[in-house]
Amino acid sequence: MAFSGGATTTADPVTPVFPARRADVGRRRAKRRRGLIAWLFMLPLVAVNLLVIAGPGVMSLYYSFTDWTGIGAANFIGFDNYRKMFHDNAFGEAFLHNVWWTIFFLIIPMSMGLFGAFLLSRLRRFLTLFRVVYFIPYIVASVVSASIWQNLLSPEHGIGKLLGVNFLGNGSTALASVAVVNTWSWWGFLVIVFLAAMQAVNPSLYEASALDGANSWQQFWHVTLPSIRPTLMFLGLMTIIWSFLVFDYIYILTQGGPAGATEVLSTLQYRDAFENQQAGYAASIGVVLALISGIVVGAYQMLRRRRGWEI
Amino acid sequence: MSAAAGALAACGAGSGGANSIAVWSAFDSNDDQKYFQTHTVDAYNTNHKVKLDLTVKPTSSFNQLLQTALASGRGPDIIGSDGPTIVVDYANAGYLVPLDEYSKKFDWPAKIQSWALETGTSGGKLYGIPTSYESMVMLYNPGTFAKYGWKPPTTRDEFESLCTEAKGKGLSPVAAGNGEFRKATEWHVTAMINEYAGPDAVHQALTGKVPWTDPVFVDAIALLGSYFKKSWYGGGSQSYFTYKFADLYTQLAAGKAAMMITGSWAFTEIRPYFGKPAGNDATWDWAPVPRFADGVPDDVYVLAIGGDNSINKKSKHHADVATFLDWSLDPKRATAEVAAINGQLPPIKVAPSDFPSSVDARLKRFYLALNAAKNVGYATWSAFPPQTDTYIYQSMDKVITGKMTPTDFCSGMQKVFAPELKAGKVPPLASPHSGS
Repeated sequence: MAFSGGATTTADPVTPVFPARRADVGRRRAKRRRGLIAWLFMLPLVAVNLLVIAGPGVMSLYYSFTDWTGIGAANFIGFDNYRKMFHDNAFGEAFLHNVWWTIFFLIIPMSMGLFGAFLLSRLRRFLTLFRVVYFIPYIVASVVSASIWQNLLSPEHGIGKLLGVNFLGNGSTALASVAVVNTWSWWGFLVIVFLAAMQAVNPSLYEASALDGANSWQQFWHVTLPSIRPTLMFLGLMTIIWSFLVFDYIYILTQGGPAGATEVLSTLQYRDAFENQQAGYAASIGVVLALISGIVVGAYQMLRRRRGWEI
Repeated sequence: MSAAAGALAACGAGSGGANSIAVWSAFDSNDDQKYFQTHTVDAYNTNHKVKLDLTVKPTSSFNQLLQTALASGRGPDIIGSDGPTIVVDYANAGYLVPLDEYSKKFDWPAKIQSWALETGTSGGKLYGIPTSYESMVMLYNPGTFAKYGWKPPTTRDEFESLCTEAKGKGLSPVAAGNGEFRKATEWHVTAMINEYAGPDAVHQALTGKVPWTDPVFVDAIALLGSYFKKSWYGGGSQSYFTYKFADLYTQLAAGKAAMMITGSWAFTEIRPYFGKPAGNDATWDWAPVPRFADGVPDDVYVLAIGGDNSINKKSKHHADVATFLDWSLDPKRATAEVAAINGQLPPIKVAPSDFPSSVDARLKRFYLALNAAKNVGYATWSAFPPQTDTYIYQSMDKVITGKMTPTDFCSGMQKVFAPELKAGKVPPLASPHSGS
């Protein structure tokens, strides 16, 4: 290309530009075409997302500034719904339960998942079998596993009767009991994801550390954990977001009871929308939940930029 | 209340053709659906030019589907709702046609019990025709009562001594639990405030003449709380929150519980746990909820509308739908449904001779008692505004667990209720002495 351009400069100072420009234009066209084709493939997905996420999202934002009951017209009331939240004891209690839930899930299932994956990574036989066994609870429908656990914990004919504890019916044990049930279905998934990340760690790192005299615990702490940090960070991020969206296990097992002991923001939102005829207020709770997720993702992005942690 | 979502008849509005009225309905069971198709849809279509066209909707999302359809200017010809509270909301939203003209034409005041017709009004106009009604009752196992020589209690003293004796014999005095349905707690509040404070006091509070902080309501809640504390209801807070309905009916059938205070919808639910279907020889019966204070009339029946039918303003078949509404009020047809599938009777005026001979005598006695009731009590799920209703069952759970005092319960209730009263959210109320 450079030769061709050089050869033509003496004959015509203008003409040498054309082949380069033509190639440039052609490249741009090809790039545009590729972009267009990509967009054409993306279009159905974008349309679906606009329809089921952006549309309702914008509507929720709008309704959060209204007194909409869910029936009939909605009147604009400014920030009243958001102001109300600060004085709403039910909101405060539910929010604290979500915070408790988040801390619990960041510590207990994550630790179990890491530990389980580390142990599995040491296995040479039956690895697939254990993977399947650990993963099964995750693929069982929440309504099924919740019902099974409800019977298992029953004070009438389950573990509750054996131990004399009404796990789900006592305000001091109900939230922890639901969290344990949810952990049962969740931690197997963490094991599988962590195991996949651990298997991608360069084996020479373990060999080198072994030569240096590192024991299993030191290998886990100094080799495994730093190597799977992106996975750890990603699952930590998702755990926080999911913990604020938790609904199914709580609604099936306790419906937020007893006496509000297991009420979280999503069950409160459901109650306000469909029982209290406060669809506008429920929408504002939804907006707050979205904001919390947004803050978590934003903080993660900031950390990634500043410290180079990657998803 | 639970059965309110059952055979809810509503007709598909703009969606119906020129000679058809599309019906939206949700059913609790296949048998209910089959019965509705045969004895309502097919039976009506045989003799009418504009025919019903049934579309079955899921019970769990029926209301959401209906509200979405109405908001978009569509929806069924007949709008089926869960009762007076929703009728008022739909009327205020401009979705409904006033029914006064049809009421006059078909003489509905002569067919429908007066208190029930009153609850279907908004702004002085009639918008809803009740499709079912219910009350609070006390269920018991006659075998258990005979074994211990008990009689159904009618006063607080009799109730408390029976509870004491039952507990002493190792029985649960009152089978109760909200493990399956958190709102079940409000049934006990409903029974207590009507039978302790009396319907007049409840009516005065609902109309804003007395506050809910009045000592009579505080005492009523305190009394109910004390029954839980004594473990008379559902074994107290240690087990009440996990008992499911199956547990309660089983306790009653097995003679492990003496009584059960619940809604009349239980007449349908209780059957699989007694007699042949359950493989036992147990039977059940009902009695009115005892009076918990002197001065309360002894024939108080909480009367709650389980569902209403209204006409969609967008419908092209107003007169035809009104004809169907009138057809559905026929006593013979309605009582036949009670006999066949233990369906719920609409609050129409019925005579003993209207019931077929195959009807369960207990149900016939129940509906005739409701028909004859002179004192009307108010159900929290039917006569109270929505936020107050939710407050009641959620906060009563806190009273049961000792997290809230009865005084705080009542002052909190007044705080929630006052703005709802001001905003016109209290549904139309029948007079406490309107009876039938």
